[in-house]
Amino acid sequence: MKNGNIHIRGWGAVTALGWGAEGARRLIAGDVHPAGVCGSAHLVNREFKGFEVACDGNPWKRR
Amino acid sequence: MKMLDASITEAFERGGLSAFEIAESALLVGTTGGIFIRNEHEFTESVRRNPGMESPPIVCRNRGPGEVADVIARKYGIRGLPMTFSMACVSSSHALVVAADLIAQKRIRRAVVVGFEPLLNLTLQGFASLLLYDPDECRPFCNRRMGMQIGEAASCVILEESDSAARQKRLFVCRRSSV
Repeated sequence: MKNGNIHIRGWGAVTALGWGAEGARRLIAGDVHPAGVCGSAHLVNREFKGFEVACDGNPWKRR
Repeated sequence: MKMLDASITEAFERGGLSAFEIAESALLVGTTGGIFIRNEHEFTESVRRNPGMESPPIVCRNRGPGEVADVIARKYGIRGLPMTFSMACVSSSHALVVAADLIAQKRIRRAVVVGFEPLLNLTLQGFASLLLYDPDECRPFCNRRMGMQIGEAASCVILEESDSAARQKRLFVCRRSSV
């Protein structure tokens, strides 16, 4: 293996949940909305960082 | 397959690849479930058409693990080196690493790296037999979580040597370190 610069020229991503590449890019970049306080009864404590990622909608509809 | 097509089409459009650039690219596909799509479909159809009869042995005749790569290459006109990585959860990660290595070694100029994992009964029942699912909900950050959840997705990343990309629209550069 060698060091070197590899250029990422294009990418796309789709899930059955409606996530697209733009949502994935924002997630990787940390561009996400803080999640509201989790009200799930099963949690022992709620002192963790949570985030929400908006679904892009219909994965078959491409911009 | 629509999910797969959508991700590849978007990657090509974002990258602004010409038909020639697509044709000369190598294709590396990371998939495990993708190899079993047709087998599972044929088995399911056989059971559906013959209700009440003993289930036939699932036909696992070897179509070749490269079937997904072959379909992609034919559809998009990719004529470079094709490779398939069927390594369960690390299939596409391995495909990315190998693609970067091939580019760094100047064996290829550009790689279309595809990750594809469809939801199959084989996968669902396989993880269920290992008792790995959380029966209630998806709660990955909870210390009382009781298991995992799975889904399906497709992604496509186009890697190329940075020199050739100097004249192209640049998204970002990935620096790799030796392992």
